[in-house]
Amino acid sequence: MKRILLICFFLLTGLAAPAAAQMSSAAGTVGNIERVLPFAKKVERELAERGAVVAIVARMGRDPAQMPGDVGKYTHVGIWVYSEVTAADGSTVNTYAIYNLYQDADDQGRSTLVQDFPVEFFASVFELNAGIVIPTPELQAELLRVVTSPAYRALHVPEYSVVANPYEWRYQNCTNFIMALLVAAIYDTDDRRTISGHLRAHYEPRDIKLGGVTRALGSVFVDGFATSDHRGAPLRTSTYDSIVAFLTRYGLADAVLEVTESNVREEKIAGR
Amino acid sequence: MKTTFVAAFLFLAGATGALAAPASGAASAQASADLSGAVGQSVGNGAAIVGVSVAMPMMAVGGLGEAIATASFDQLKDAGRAGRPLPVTDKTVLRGPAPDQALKARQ
Repeated sequence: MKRILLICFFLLTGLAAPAAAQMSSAAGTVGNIERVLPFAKKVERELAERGAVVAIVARMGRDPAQMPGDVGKYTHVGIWVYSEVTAADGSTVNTYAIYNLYQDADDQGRSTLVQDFPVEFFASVFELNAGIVIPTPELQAELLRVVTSPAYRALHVPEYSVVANPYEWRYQNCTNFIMALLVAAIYDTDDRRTISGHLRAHYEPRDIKLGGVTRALGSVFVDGFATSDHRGAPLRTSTYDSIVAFLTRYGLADAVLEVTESNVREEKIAGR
Repeated sequence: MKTTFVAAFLFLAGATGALAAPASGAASAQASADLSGAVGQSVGNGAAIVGVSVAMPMMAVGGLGEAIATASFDQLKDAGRAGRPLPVTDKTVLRGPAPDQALKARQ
């Protein structure tokens, strides 16, 4: 058993680095800037042409084949807000500013709220593919109100876990943060206990099927993988798909799109 | 024993991939820095700009105050309802360097 643990340790520590490296060397990354620039602009224009002031956009940071099937293909989700940006020379342009919860590079057990722009959002992806959900105008307005309020930072939990329990506040990841903001916007509250209550009542996160060995050793050896907030229960966390399911179930999504370099596909929303 | 090892391998290999996945954000900071370098020439020729401040629609139009902000957003919301596209720049907009990098660049 000791030998197994030792091997497991090396597997975890040894594989983690190539996994990270893959994200910055895969097709469609900074090495292919000539592809990233037009793709980022394409996503931006798609939102603008639809009159979206606020949208939730997901990117594909890793090879989906390496992801557990229940996680989906998107690895990061941010809130895009139509904004006016001032350049150093004082000129102004309209573009989308993106509000992200990013895992810290030097401490993967923590996260920081970072605002960036479309080309930076897609700079480090496995594939140029965006999942987009455009909320209803009413929800866009409420989300904008939350993003510009003190609640935005107040609802951030810097302690990061990739499998954070969305019903608890000990750890958080980007998708759980988005869900907290959505509920804060919908119910006009920044009270964490109230938000948790609404989440438990109306929102279903995705099951993350990991074995007991992984769960136990992952907590020990992998920064950013903490499970204590699940209190021994099956791991469940938010994904882009669970966010979309929540918004479409309650009629809060105007459009659900998948944008690739060559195509824009709009999903049919039930009841619309 | 062999089964346990194989299971552990698969679990951990899968887990490592899955667990590292949302660490895409960790790669993002580096990517942004690299990207800024890659398109530096674009900034020079005016195809890209570095945003030094960001104002959301409400503040861009109304300045301060929630009432003005709401009214401004309603205008944008109406534009969306009417199917009117919002104008966006053809330029690439980039985040400025982090404070530590900005200071280092000056030294």
